[in-house]
Amino acid sequence: MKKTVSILTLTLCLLVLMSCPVFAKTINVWTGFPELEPFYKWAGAEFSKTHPEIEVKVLSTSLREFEQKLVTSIPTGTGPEVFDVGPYIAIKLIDADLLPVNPPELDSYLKSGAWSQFAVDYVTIKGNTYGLPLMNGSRAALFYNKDMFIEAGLDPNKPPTNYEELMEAAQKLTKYDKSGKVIRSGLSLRISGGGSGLTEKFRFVLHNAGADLIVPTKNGKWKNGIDNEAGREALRYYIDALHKYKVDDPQVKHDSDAFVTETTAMFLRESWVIGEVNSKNPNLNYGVAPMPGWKRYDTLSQPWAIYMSMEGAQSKEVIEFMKFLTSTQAAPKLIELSGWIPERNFDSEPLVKEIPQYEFFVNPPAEIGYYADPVIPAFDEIQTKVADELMEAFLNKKLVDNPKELDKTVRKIAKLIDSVLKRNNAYGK
Amino acid sequence: MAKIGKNKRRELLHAILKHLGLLMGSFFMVIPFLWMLSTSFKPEVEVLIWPPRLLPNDPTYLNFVELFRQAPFFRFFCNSMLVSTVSTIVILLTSLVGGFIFAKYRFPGKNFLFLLIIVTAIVPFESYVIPLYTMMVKWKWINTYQGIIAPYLVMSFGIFLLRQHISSTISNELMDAARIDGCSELRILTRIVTPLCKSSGGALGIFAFTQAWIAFMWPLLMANEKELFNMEIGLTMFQFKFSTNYSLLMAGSIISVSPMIFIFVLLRRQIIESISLTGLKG
Amino acid sequence: MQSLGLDKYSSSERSRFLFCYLMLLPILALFFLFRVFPIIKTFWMSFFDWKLVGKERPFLGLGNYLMLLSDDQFLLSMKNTFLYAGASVIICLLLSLPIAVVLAKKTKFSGFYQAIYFLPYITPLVPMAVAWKWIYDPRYGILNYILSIFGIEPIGWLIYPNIAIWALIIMNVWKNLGYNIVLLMVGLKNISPMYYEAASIDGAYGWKCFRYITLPLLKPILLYVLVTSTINAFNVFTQVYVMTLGSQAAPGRAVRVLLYDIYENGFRYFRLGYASAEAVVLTIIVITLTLIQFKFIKSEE
Repeated sequence: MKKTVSILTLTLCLLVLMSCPVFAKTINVWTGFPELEPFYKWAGAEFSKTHPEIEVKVLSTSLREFEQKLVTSIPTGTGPEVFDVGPYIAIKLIDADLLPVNPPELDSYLKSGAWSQFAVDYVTIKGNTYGLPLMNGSRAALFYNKDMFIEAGLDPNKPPTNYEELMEAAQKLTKYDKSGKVIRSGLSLRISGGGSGLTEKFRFVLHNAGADLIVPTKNGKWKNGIDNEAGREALRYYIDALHKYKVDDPQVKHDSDAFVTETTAMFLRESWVIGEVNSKNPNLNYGVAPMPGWKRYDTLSQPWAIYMSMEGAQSKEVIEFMKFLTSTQAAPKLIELSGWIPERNFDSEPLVKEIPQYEFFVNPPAEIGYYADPVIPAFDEIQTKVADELMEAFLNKKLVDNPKELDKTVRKIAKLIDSVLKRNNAYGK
Repeated sequence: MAKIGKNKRRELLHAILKHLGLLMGSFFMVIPFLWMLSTSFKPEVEVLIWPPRLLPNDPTYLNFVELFRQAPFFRFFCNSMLVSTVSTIVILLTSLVGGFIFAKYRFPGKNFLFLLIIVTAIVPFESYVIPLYTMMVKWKWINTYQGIIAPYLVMSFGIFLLRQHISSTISNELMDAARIDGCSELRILTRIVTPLCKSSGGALGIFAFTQAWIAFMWPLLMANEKELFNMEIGLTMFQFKFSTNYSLLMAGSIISVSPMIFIFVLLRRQIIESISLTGLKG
Repeated sequence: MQSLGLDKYSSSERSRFLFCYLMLLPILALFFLFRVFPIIKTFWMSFFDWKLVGKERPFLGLGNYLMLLSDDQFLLSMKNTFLYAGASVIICLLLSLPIAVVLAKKTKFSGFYQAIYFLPYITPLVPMAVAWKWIYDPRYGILNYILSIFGIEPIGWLIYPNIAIWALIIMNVWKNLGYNIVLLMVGLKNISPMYYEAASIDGAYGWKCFRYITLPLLKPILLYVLVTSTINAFNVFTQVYVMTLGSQAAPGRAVRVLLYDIYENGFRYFRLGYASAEAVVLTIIVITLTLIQFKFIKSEE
């Protein structure tokens, strides 16, 4: 009996494994963003209509696996034909001569005026261009719940414009239970999980306070840029929010989850939140405002590009698919299916008409400035390691009104950053 | 008379206390399973109700429908099955042959080779995945079944176990008698030794199967595409995608856990015996 | 042949050797490829600045090891791993011993209890880690609910660094309790009833009997359980990986364990040489533990 059952199961398994359809040609697409999967699938299906012999296969894994798999499969030619990846990985591959320079066809397409100079410069390395900027991977803004603003006596059409106002509003917006515990946060901060993302969110405050995680030195190298007043201010901002003004608490819901379920009033996030809200709580009355300022009024704006493998660049279809992914036809679909903003120019009017919250993302006001991640291979390691330190610091109540302790913490982080830089031969004075 | 009654009452009290303690412990053991099961049948809104209910108010099977729509869990299952079965068969084969040779023959270099096999068992597998991984990169075995299975083809402990078993149950006289009857060495192995190894072979098989089934770090490194994910990796990636949708996640967990629980219910006694046997390898 | 000194053997013996070698050849090849070679290579790589991408790999000598000594993250992961292993092994042993003693006696439903306690041990780690993450949820998790019945304030299990590691320890105890019980029961059943009869004649019951008869006779298996579970605990990875994945996950720093650090250095930052040095440290710890066990067993005998 047992034998028959096990033999049957096994044969069944083998049948399933062998029954995959075979296409003449496959384009494998890899992404580290699960929310991009529907977009790539749509693009694949659309592309197959004009190229019936092509099947597009999409794989999305968590970012940390994705990068490891990419870096090991690209050199051996077992990887995807098309992939999107952050600049710190791309530069590693380019350094090792593992990514093809854009063929003339793509190069002229890139420089045809469809992209801003900022984006073109970002994918130009030592005079050559690599890949096509697909989307803006980081442009963030302030999301705020208008109903809660009204309820707290704030003007829903005048969102906070700087971090001081943000904290004041957050205090008014936070709700507590009888014992004084936060049940609805006024400002949801990223204080746990997610590795490097936590540092990236911290940089929103840090950069506008006047500092950066690492700054270039005169000899073309880097050193930490946070061991200064601005660095301490930024950390103090988080500490005060959590422990002094108690506008957020580790135990309440966080991030887009909290915003969608109306358990937070405000948070700083990228455009994809709009898609989340639309699908999960379409009646939410909310607004989107530019990133609050401090000493600076800048917004992180990180082009995120798609690349081809060496093998992929040999194929005419792959090059066409690359162009298709960044076409004017695909651009609105990218927003619709993933919530991310295309990096290329396109006609955004119909979109903004339908969902006004996109206005800020597709037509940002001219006066705001931008900054992007420094393109050095060690930056990911720095962000991830700093995230661990920050996470611990955020929960440390001893840092409240304690400049000495605060100073010590910032110094520790600065030392960590420098040590990673030194190890990567990227440290200078 | 009164004294006996008192003793009996005391015994009864003891028994009650004992079972109460054991039951409380059992509760601690099964609560994760029950909580998982109940959450998997709750609609998403009901998951976020405080205080939580152990039984869903409005049970729904839709989580499971959604689960199979979102990820090919059946495929993951088949992959786990395939890898575990191949690994088990090869480990049984290599352990049988290796155990037989090391138990019944004398040849130059025997002790050294046996020691080598045993010593490699002490070093934890995860501590040498790095060179193993670069080797697979060089061989282009990344993202292939053979790459995932390769390190799970031999088991030092299996060779050790069968050597012990064969040297204690099969006498040299028996083998000599077979030789006089004209049996070749190979025939002795297939006709005489193999049938006598059923019990320890079974224990080893269960052990090998579970080991391959729960493998995590290695397939995580090797499998690049959904088509090659096993249950563990499939669920991990699924978790990443739906990190806060607990009703869906618990449905996925139930699906991943059930084959092992099914095997456990079927072979409970053998499994516990095999673990106590493997536990005595020191 | 002569040079190998095989001429002292007869031709039938020689043909039997050939048979042995032929049979062992594929097995030894597998062992060499997938065990011996990678183990040696790990040691070798630990002396280089070996990267996954790029061709340059300068020789560092003991450089990687020296760097380990001043690497906060590595030291922290060592501390966490030792805490995790020590605490979970001790708690597990203290809980499993009385249960095993009770179950080894003629208790009703003994088999049933054994199966229940053993169940977590055979269930795969990933789904259970996902389930525990949900149990530990600070707002809606059932653990905080159970605690609230006893008037205990909700605890942010996977949020606070000092608590997160204990959340992992609890899960590990839950998982391995049954394994300990089964092994200890084997040990207990192997104790001949003669000892107890003799003890009862001497008037030793209950605790005394346990302390002076059961415990000393159980020592070898206790030691065995102790060492294997410690080694097991040193290899913790899956739970940590799953619980730190995704948003609202456990803080990476608080639950950073040795294998996690190796994995991250090796496969996220692609510092293969450095990660190999860490792997060598892990190997040395595990070998030391095993040697201690062998030594004790030898001295017992």
